[in-house]
Order: sequence, then structure tokens, then C-alpha cells
Amino acid sequence: MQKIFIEYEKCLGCGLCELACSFEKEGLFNPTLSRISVTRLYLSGLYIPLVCQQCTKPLCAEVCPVNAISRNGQTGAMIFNVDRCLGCQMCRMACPISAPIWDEVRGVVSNCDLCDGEPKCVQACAVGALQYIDEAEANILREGPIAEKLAELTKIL
Amino acid sequence: MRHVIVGNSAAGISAIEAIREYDKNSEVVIISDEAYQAYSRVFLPKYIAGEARFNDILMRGYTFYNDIGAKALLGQTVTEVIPKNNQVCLLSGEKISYDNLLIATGASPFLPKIPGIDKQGVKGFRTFEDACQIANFMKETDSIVIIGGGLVSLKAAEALSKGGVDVTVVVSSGNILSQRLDSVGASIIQKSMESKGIKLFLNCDVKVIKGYRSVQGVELTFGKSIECGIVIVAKGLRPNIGLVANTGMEIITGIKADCYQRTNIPNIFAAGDVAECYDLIEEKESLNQMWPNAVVQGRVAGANMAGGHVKSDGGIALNSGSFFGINIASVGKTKTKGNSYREVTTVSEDGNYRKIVIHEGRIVGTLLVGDISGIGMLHSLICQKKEVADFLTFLEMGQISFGHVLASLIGR
Repeated sequence: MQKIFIEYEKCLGCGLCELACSFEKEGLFNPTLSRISVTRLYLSGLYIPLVCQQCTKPLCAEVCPVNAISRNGQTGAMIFNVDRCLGCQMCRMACPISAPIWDEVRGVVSNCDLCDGEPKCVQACAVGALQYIDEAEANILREGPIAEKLAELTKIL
Repeated sequence: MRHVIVGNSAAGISAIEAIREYDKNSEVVIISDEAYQAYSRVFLPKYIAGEARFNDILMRGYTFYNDIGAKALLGQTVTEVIPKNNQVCLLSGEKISYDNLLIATGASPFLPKIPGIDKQGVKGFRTFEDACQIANFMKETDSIVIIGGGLVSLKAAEALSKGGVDVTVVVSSGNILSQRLDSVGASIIQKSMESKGIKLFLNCDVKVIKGYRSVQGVELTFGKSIECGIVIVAKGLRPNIGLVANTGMEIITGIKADCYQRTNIPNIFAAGDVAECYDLIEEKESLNQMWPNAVVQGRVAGANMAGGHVKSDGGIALNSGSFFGINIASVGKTKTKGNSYREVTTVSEDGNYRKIVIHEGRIVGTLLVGDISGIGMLHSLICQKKEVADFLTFLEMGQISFGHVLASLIGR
């Protein structure tokens, strides 16, 4: 199983990932519709992309009252079935990194589905901050203060 | 080994799934007085509004019980629990023995002692049956009064107003959702309700429900009369503890359950709206009758029934949802008294309201109205009782992305 691995120190905050995602998923270049989002701290020169971690124990799926969230056996991505979603947003409440996004127009929640194994955000990243690599490898490579804090704050991942 | 579960909603279903993670072979029996397969009460308003069919609000697929190997006795009422015999009695007279029992009977609408509350057309709004009856009544009336200003009341008001009937909401408090929202947060929703044509009476009660056998109207405390064909009573819930009343089980308002969801009777567990459990913010037992708590409690109960040793960190008050097109989410303490609490409140240019409550340097509650996108992270930080000193500046600026918190915590 592969996952999106983030090397935070490499990110320059260009936002191509957000544009690639929103275009792939919504047909629009609109970062607010992107499943990946970059927090930009210009004064610290720090750019932090955040995207669904496809948790091993997904709290979003556990709480969903209509069983609209399930794992894709091939990619390991948590798939949000927008046809079943009724917009209660309990999944957003449950996610410690606030990954699922709200589609105001349709009144449903959507989330990163790893683009069926070919994540467009990774393809768009020019500096290699985003990589789509084997999960085991990602766990070994994961280092640095941001990654450590993230793991500490989200013990469930 | 036989696990018996009384109650077929969030807690009961989560318990079955947890039991099966530990124990593939034991017998599991789930009993409910509702004749339907498990559905999500939270979406009954959508059913009434015609926005969802029953199929759309099912918790699991049609073959769930069969697939997971549970025997479902639906439409059967448990009348009594006899702990000394390890048995439950059904209304039919049948007795079922158990090794472990989970009480997940939920709660029922509280009906206050208003004259006329027993008239036909006065309904709580809790079950699928209730929803069907309300939908039927709606065909014969063009005016509805809803008593109460909580979540159930508002969701009902929203759903029914879409059906083209006149909706009046009568609220005792000075604002809607008074248990969770302050007046600023509430006014955002109230304005939107009124713009959709819903009439809102605050600071008043229904004095009497009028009519012969059926409801014809209500009279409010300040004398005004409103004609209506249905009165929906949404004044909170009372735990369904009737079937354990004479068992020596420890009851507060609900059944007292510890962090393993055990009651004081060794092989009986309790979970969901019927259970009163430790609240990690209030730091005492509390009724947190909300879906996510029921799911967590059900999972913990199921795991421990099946021989696991899983401890819950405690429950927390929390709500999320959209009302009249505006999202609201709240976690933990949202209303405070005394100066040991600090409230950080921001209102953005586009009208998004955010409140974060801080106590002894830790974040203990939050209320978001409009854009609720940081709610999951805040929920997690509240449950972890995280110190806020490092990221307080960001909170004060209304910045609540996880990235900001991460950056602050690593000293950037």
C-alpha cells in the first residue's frame, strides 16, 4: 500500500498541489475546494501541506451514521460516498487534522481518495515535497519536528 | 457464551462490531422494540422533508445482522432484566439467558406537564414511527408548533418548513440552542430561521394545548394563541431505564457506567443515551446524549464484553450539523461562568463566528458558526487537554488550521 508522504522542509508553499487537486476533483482551479491544503507561515518561512492520512483506525468512518465512508482495498484510501452522505459532518468533527472538506453547494463532505492511486497533487509538486511511496518506506523516512509533532498529536494515525 | 444487546442504534450496532473484532464465535443477540433495522435518528428530519428515503438513513446494509453473525429480534420489547438469573424477559413471555448484557436502550423525549399534552397530534420526535406519524399529520394541517429550542427542535423546524407548512418554535430561553450557543452565535441562526418564514417565540412557554381530542392550537404564557394541527415536543431526552428499575443497578439520571462501560452489576454493561459516563471536561459523570459518544461507548462496551480490556478516555459534549444553511459545531464547554475562564472570540469579515474557551491554560471548549473547518483539530486538542500557550496568538487571530498549531508547537 502506498501513501502520500510529505517532506515538510521541502515545501515552498507554491500551492500547485491545491490547484491540481481542485481541478482534478471539481474541474476548477480553486484552492478552497482542494483536498490538500497548505498552511503558510510567511514570517517563519514555513509551509505545511496537510492531507488525509488514510488512518489505520479511521475515526471518520467509525462515526459516520450512514456508513458512507469505507476503505478502498486496492489503494487503502478512505472513500467518501457522496451519494450516501447526508451532510451531518460528524466525520469532520472526528478528524484530528480536519482533513475532510465541506462542499457547501452540494451539502456533502468530500475527502482525498488518492486519485485511485495516481495522486495529482504529488504529480504537480515540483520540489518533491510530496511523494507517493510505499507505506513502510514512508514510516522509515518520517522524521523532523513537524512529522514528529503530527504523530504525537494524532496518536490514532 | 452469549452476548445480549438491548437496543439497536448507534451503541448497539457499534458494540456488535467491536465484539466481532475480538470474538468471532460467541452468540450475539440484539433486541429492539423498534421493528426496523438500525437507522440513524439524526436524519429523520431529512426523511420528513422528503430529502432522504428510509434506505438512505440505514446505519448498515440490509444483510448486516446475517453477515456479522448476530441474531436480531426486532419489534420485541424487553420488559425486565433479572440479574440473578442472568436473563431478560420479553413481552411475549420468552426469557433469554445471557453471559454478558449490554443495555443500550437509548432515551425518550421528555414530555412536560402541560395541560393537553396527551391530545392526539402531540408528538415527541425520536423514532421512525414518530417521523411517519408526523408526516401523516402534516397532510391534514398547515400549521405546526414546536416546543423547545434544541437541536431536535431546529432540525424539525427546518424540515417541516420545507414542506410548506407554517412553523412556530416556542423556546423557554432567551435564545435558541441555549445549552450550547451564546446569544451572538444563536442570533446568526435565528436571523436565518426568521428569513425562511419560521416564527420564533423566545422567553416563553406553551401554557396549554387546546383542542377536544386532537390538537387545535396552543396558548402561550403571555396570552397569544396559535392554531395548529401538530405539536412537536422537543424538550430534551430522558434515559430509558424502566427495564432495569428494580435490579439494584446504580442510576444517576441515566445508568452509571465506568470507563469500561460496566455498570455496578458485573456482567451488565451500559452505553449510549441511556448511560451516564465520565465527562473529561466536566470531570464527573454526565449525560452526553450525542451520536459520537454512543458510538465510542458501544465500541468500548463490545470490546470488554468480548474479553478485551479497552478503556474510554471519557465522553464530551459535542454537536455538529447544518441549520438553515449555516454550519454549527461545538465541543466541550461553550458557556462559562466565573473569571477562571477566558473566551477568545473572533468574527470574520464574512460572518464566521468562532469562540474558544480556555481554562487554566488549556482549551476546554469551542463553538464555531459558519465555517467550521477547524473543528476536528480543536476537538482533538480539547480531548488531549493541550496547553494553548504556544498557539494562543493564532487562536486570537482566528487562525485555527492544524498547520498553525504544528508550527507553534515546534517553536516556529
